[in-house]
Amino acid sequence: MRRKLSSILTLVVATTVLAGCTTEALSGKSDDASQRISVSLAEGVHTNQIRAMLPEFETATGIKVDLNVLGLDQLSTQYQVKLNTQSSDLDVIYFRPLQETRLFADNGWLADLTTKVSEDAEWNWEDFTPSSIAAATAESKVYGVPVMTEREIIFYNKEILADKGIDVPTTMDELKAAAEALHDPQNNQFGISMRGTANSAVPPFSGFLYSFGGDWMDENRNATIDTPEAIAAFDYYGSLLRNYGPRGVASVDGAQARSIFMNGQAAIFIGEDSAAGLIEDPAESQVAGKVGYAEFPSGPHGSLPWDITPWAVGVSAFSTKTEAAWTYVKWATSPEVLNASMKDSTSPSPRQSSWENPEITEGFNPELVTIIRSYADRAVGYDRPLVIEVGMVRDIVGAPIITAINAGDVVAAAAKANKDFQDYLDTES
Amino acid sequence: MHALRTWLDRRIKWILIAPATLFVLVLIAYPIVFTANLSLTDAKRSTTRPSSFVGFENFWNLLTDTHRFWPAVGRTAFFTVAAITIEMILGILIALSLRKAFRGQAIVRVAMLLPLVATPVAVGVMWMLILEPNTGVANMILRNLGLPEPLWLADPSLALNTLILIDAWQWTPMVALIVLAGLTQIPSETEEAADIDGAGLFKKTWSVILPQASGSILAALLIRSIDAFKTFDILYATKGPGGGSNHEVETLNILAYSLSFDYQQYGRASAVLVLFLTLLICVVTSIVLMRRAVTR
Repeated sequence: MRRKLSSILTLVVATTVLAGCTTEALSGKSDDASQRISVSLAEGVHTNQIRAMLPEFETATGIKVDLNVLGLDQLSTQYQVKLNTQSSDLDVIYFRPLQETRLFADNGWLADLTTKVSEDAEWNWEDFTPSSIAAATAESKVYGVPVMTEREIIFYNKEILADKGIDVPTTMDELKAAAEALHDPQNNQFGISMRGTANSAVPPFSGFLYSFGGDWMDENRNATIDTPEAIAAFDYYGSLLRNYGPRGVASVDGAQARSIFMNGQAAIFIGEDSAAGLIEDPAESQVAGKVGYAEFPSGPHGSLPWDITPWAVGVSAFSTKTEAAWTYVKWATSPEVLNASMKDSTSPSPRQSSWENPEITEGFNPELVTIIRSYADRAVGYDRPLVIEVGMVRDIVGAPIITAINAGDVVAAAAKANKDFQDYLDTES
Repeated sequence: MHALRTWLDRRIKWILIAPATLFVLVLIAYPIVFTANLSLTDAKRSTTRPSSFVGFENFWNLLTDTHRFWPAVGRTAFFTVAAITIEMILGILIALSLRKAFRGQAIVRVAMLLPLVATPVAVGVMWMLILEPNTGVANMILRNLGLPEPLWLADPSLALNTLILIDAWQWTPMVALIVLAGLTQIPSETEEAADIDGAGLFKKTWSVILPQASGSILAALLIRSIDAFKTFDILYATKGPGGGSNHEVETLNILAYSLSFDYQQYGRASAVLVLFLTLLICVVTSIVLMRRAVTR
């Protein structure tokens, strides 16, 4: 028995060694592996467009693309797992500039694209909006090319407002009055729907913070979330949601806030304009065709919504196929793809030329186009603090929002958050 | 060739266990050593950046953290004890009632298996949609019946309890199946003897049937305790990062995940995991000792 076993093992060892040689020899001869790249991105409107147009790219360039489409959290986790191990599995990576550019750049995870972007005048880097370029840039180096933009606006249910004879709010006071008048929880209808979880509420809250005259920090990187302006904004946002928001609002995240409006349960929804495509999709939304759009309301310091770049595309610093990866990035951010994305999939383009072309903007509701154009001269380019460790800082600065929703001591919560945030800022570098 | 064969002959037992040993070393021991090492550093943002040795600073910071760490320890213990208590009691009762053959037994057993085969993340998402206070079907029914509408997962004081019930919904059947397997091994003679002696149903179950199934009951307790202790999926799927806005369902597992994947504080997260592993080993050891004492 023993003899037989060792004979088998001898055979196994010999076969394995031979097989190893063969595989090596084959792989050396195989066709150019650099022509197969992986592209990681999250589900969304732009992704749908990429999926549809990818065969054109593959035929034109001969580069095979493996699309790796994940949920937002899974994508972020995968980047951390693979980039922490410096894996060469990832070639093209879509990332969230305001959340990740600084962290990824600081970690050395993204390839520097500064010279690449200015090489081709026809592709035209200058066409991208300055704020979108700024979002994908860190320490004067370009790490990604913007693929989408997004602004904070009011969505309202025209039928509900008309029923009660309420005008579209233009100021914070009017918004509060409208939400109060339209709030009817007995009949399962709420005045307003917005994000309420600490971390997820930071972006929508930002517009309120700026419009009340506050900001996350000053130009010397001193935390400023305990100022009277910031406290007024925390109070306003929290009490609006506590009094006129959906039930259990401190547990309502982005998708839930939007779906409550899409179910026809909320009269007003304040969120990102890129949601318009989904909200107007009759297959997904019960309010499709009944939605009105309005500019972000004015606070004591005017209407200061944000205009941000939620997605950019870059190349992993550990990719061994950087040329093929860059070819993809250039194609995915070409006027052709971004215009098609905007026209067919309602993904707002970061290229200025897209907005000047009526053929491209016709897919958008005209009200929305007017609002977006009006934001150009006043919108703020960030919807969260511009720091390296955004994930942790969002929890810190979002805590007073929850205190405000829970009707707690906002002044004390803001003071604590300001101290924690300052401690972070002091040790960031 | 002959030399190779002799060499193999001599070392055959080592060669045969080598793959398994290597597997254990690479996949279990290496991550633990790596994590323990990381827990003594200030590694953050990326594990490949240079980090400095900080001794037990991460552990000290955690052990003095009454905001996130200690409440997470408390929730982990509460979740485990409460879920296990419910699951063991219900599981044993179900097993006892399914012991004797009855009509439709096969259907009942299959129905019991259904929650078990569902992926915990899917279970979490399903219950989240059912219990959503504005759009969920549970509160819609309560509303139509004119009953009070609890906020279930959205109410910070109720969320962990709701999750314990969801865990019990999913895992009680497993306890029932393991205990049932133990019950079917019991010879009928002992039961008949108890009947002749005039023991009532309760007395017979408590003193005759259950002691004989104690091995399988303790096995179920061990497996479920380990699982409940490290529950992650349903908590994260229903409440998201940080265990909710007020960290209301943040257990040690969720805390470690948040510290690593949301905060990129790998040193601190590793310290949580080392403490978590230590606690887990304590729990398992005590159950194993209990099992030995009972079966002796």
